[in-house]
Amino acid sequence: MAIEEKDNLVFLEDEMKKSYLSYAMSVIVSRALPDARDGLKPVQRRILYAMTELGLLPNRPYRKSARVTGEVLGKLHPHGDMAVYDALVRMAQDFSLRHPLIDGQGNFGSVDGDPPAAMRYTEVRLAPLSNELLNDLDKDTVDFIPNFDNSLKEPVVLPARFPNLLINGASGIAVGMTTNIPPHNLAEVTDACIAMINNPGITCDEILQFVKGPDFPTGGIILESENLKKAYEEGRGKITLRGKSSIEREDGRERIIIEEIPYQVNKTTLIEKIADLAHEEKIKGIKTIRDESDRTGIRIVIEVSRVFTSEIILNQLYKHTPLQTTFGIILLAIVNGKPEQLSLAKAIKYYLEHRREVLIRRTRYLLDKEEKKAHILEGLKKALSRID
Amino acid sequence: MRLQRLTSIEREKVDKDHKDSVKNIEEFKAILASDTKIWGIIKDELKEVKEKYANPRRTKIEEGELEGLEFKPEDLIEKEDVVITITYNGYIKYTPLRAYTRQQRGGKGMSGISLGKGDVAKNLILCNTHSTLLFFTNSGKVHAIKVYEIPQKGRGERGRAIVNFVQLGEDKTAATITIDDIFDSNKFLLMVTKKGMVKKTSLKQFSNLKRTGIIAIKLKEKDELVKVLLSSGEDDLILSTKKGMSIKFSEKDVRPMGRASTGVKGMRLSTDDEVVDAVLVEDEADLFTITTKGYGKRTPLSSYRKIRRGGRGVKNIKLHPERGEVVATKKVKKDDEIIIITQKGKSIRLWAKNIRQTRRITAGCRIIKSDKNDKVIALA
Repeated sequence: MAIEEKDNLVFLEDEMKKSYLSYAMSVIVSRALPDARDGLKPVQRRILYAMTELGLLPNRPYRKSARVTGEVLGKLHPHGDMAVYDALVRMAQDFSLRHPLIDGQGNFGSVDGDPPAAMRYTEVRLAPLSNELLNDLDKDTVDFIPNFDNSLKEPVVLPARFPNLLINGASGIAVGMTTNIPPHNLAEVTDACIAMINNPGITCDEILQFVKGPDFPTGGIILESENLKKAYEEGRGKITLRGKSSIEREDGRERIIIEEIPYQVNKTTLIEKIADLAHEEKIKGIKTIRDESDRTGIRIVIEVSRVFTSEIILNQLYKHTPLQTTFGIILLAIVNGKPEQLSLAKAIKYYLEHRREVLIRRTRYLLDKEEKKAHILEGLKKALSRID
Repeated sequence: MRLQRLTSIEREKVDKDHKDSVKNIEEFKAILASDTKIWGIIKDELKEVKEKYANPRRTKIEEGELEGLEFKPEDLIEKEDVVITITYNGYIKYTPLRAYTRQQRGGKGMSGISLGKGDVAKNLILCNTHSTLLFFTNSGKVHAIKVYEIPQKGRGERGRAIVNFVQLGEDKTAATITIDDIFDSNKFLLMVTKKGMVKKTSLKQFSNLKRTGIIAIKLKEKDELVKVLLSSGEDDLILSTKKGMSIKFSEKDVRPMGRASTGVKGMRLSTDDEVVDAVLVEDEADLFTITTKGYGKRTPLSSYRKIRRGGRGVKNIKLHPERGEVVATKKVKKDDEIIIITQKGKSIRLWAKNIRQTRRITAGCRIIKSDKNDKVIALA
């Protein structure tokens, strides 16, 4: 390289630092983490917004997923089509979201881990609950920013009439940080919000009177411990989650019936794991294992041989298979453009502040509109009085 | 706007709309002016969503399962009746009781263990996989292992050496005892030493047992632990010495002590004499005594007079120099079997009833013909 060109030299370290930092920030803020206010990641928000624009309301017919994906890609989200479709599918899965935001028709996958049908086969429309997220979007309640090519505008956040962050949860891996928010019960969380409105200085203990803990769409049993409380206080902690099982006895034979499995556990892999352990004799006393699940629910049957005790086999299953898992709670979300680890109280507080702003803006908008209308009516009144 | 259209508008309707409009404006202004009203609306909207969409909780939260988070080995291991076999050379194994099929009386039996040369089965213990096995060493330490930690072997197999599980070091195993999980029972351990000391300690004191061993009894110089018995707290026991003396006393004479204590005098010994064995007294049972040269006798336990501890005791067996010294004693019933093992690995198995019941002070008869250089070392 010629000496005179030296001025243009860039040190690799500096360039790495600069580029990687901006990449990291981009991933954190506009890809992997949900917003604390509406609990949506950018891709989810764009899908919901695009669907409203397409008029895919709950009372309208379904439309091909491919059209929605295309709309989102072409107008709002300059990324891969599979990323968008996967996000869309997840929002329609009743075993992933406590309250699905999208009403899907077709094969959207199952707890067995089999893949959903391709987007040319499946059809979607908004679920009724999504209305509550999108309501008042047209009333200047939230800011709009230009899309990637400055041809359209998209909302920065949705008005969100219910605290979606806590209700449907979220999980995402950014750079240097991850989030893993479990879903909660809608009634419990709304009660907690109301309690906080009534008493803004409410403590975490008091909130936990309302929110008993996560409420996973797949059911299961949470073993309560101090960790649960700690997780909500600090925004980080581990809880133990177990599948629901019972023991059936019939003329001297015992079988273990598993009716619910922990959240995000793949049923097929669970059964394979149990079968492997039984085969290797790491767990003794399992005669056969059958999957009797049908459309009404999960039912895994484990036949126990006579000389063994079901309770002990069950304990071994808890210990050695994903029938018992730990869920690491990390309540990380974007607040004012920055990632922040939230306590339960803070998560609710940020949501309520957002609602307050939405409400003020909505009222102002309505006031403005109403004032214009009144002005015209006044003019009409004057004109009418002079007509005769 | 054309005049024509203006006229078609109803005046009353305009008036009404205007009034509504003004009312709305006032209301909106009121809302914007009052935080309470804003929060009130937020609450109402939340309640509305809740009413429309809420459904009951699906995930249960179970309380009071704090310790359930970690499993103890007992939670994971099937409780099963097993037979533990310990050989004289220190091999150990357990076999599920199921492996022994029941036979008719008079059957031939099956081999329970394959033995190395000169080895014999010393101990056969019936217990379950959750029991604890205690090994007492001659230096007064006690080691514990759980039965499920012992290798499970089939009926005909040999097992593994005890030293693989228990760090015995230089010590030898003096006694083994099994306990069914519970350490808080009302049982006592009675320890007897070579120099005639006796110590009684509640089992509770042994609740924090370790593999590496803890002290069970503090021994005086040159003393050794010879026997440990599991007692109810109200039993009688008989100590026997090398030189043919025996003493029977009630264990109530021995007050319970802490774990690392020495105990009390159980028997006053003449010079050079030492305690070799001890048994718990049981009605209708006999005391079988064997000497180094293979002479033995069987005498009812009731013919030993009960005295206070610390005495010299009574004569157990008449000894001649050519008949050796007492090696061991055993409580036997008529239908019991006795196994005698010699230093050279010979063993003899015989029915207790084949040995004539005699009075206390006799010399006994020859039980096993031993070579000049051989001697009896153990009894099972």
